[in-house]
Amino acid sequence: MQKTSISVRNVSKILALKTNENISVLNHIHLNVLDQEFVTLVGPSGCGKSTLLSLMAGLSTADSGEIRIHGQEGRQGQPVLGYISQIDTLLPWRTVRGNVEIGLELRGVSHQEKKSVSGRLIDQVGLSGFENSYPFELSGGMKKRAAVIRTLAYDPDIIFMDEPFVGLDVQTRDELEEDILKIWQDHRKTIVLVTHDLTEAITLSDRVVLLTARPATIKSEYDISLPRPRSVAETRFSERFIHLHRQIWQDLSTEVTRAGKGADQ
Amino acid sequence: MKTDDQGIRAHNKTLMVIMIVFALILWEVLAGLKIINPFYSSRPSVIFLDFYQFLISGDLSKHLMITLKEALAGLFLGTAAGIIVGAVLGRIRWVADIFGPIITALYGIPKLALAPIFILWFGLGAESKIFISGLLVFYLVFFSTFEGIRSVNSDMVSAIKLMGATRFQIYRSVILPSCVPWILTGIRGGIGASLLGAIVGEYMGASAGLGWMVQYATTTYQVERVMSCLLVLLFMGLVFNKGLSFCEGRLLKWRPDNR
Repeated sequence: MQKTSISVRNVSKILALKTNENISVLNHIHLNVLDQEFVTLVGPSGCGKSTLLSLMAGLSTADSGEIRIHGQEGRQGQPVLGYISQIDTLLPWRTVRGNVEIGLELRGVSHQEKKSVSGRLIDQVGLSGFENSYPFELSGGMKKRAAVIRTLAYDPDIIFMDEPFVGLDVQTRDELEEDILKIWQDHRKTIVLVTHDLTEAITLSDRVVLLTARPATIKSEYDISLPRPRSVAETRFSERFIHLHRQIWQDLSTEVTRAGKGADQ
Repeated sequence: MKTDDQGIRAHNKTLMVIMIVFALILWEVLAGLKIINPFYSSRPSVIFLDFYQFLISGDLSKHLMITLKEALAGLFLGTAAGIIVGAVLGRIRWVADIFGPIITALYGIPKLALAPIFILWFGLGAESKIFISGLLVFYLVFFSTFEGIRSVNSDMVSAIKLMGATRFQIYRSVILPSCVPWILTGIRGGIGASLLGAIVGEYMGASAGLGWMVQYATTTYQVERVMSCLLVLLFMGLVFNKGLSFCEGRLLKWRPDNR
């Protein structure tokens, strides 16, 4: 039995709108994420996937229920977390290397060690030759790679990803997914991903969690159990992938319809 | 493409020089023909001669050094104060709420109107000029630093915070670097302001300096000397700006428009 990394128990969240309206976003959510597990949250747009992710990352607080990370509640003794979103937060005045090293720099790691860690990671995602480039000189995909290894560099226990590859072209996404598969294989991090893209969800995860329309509860979970190490291309045409894709897609579309009806009222 | 572009720019530079030379010749000829009165506007040949004498007599460097010292001291102190006050007000809400309106209200006073009172307070020496020039620079740098701090990308701040950065580390690694372009813009304006402050201060009351020289030469109808002083001021402004451009080039390598 693997250790639990994140446990979400009975968590609810209500958001106050500017119009003084309150909307219930999350409704008694229960979720356990195991150590080194790759879990993906999917659900209709605006269902609260990102809200749940930010609660787990400690970026906001739940209205009720509790979230424990490695058995600890709140911020005390919290392990180091990584967070990658669709927003580009590379520091534009730092080179690729400077950006990758920032997490280590904040920890006061020696120059030598910083250099060896950043060099290794830059190599691993094929950014060699761009160590001294500034973010504005990179393509969208390269920036994203730099952001991913910036997070890996300071070796967080858990990495949260909030639709990290939105806005990139399909080919670049495939490449980045390949990178993520390799990274998970090499580093074995606990990863929680939020995405709209079922293909991405199935390709990368050990488990996909489907949330209902707002207020979100967990509708169903899917054990992916595709063999690892995986490759994007091979995985995508396997029987199991196609079967899972159809099943999740059907379950999701009933929720999407429900969400649409809710919005009409 | 690149070489073409450079070719066009070199060509334009040549045109500019030709235009300036032409304007000077026109001035010389018109003044020689008394179409424009050289008593009021002098003429290039006389000005260059006066400039030469001004230079070899040692007067130029004497007055230049005085004004330069005042302007540089004003620029330095005004910039330092502007950055510090801007950074504090930009980050600490209650300080901004209390002091922001006061600083903005005082900004409404035309600062050069304060020059005579500063001379009364700080005397005829360099201090009063440094103060005027520093005050002018302060406002420019303060406002741009404040704006810069206010417009820091909050996503970058939270990304660094998530990595476990302390408040001080966030300040050093995100907030200050992202303000550098803003601060440099403030200093760019501050260069002109620092010279203006020093010169106007000297008009109001001084016994040396380029401003004093301009004032003195005007009252004694030595227009060529006034023009010589303006020439020196022109070069001073150019050198200051070139120096700043050099700093910008080094500090803002990371900006796409800086290549």
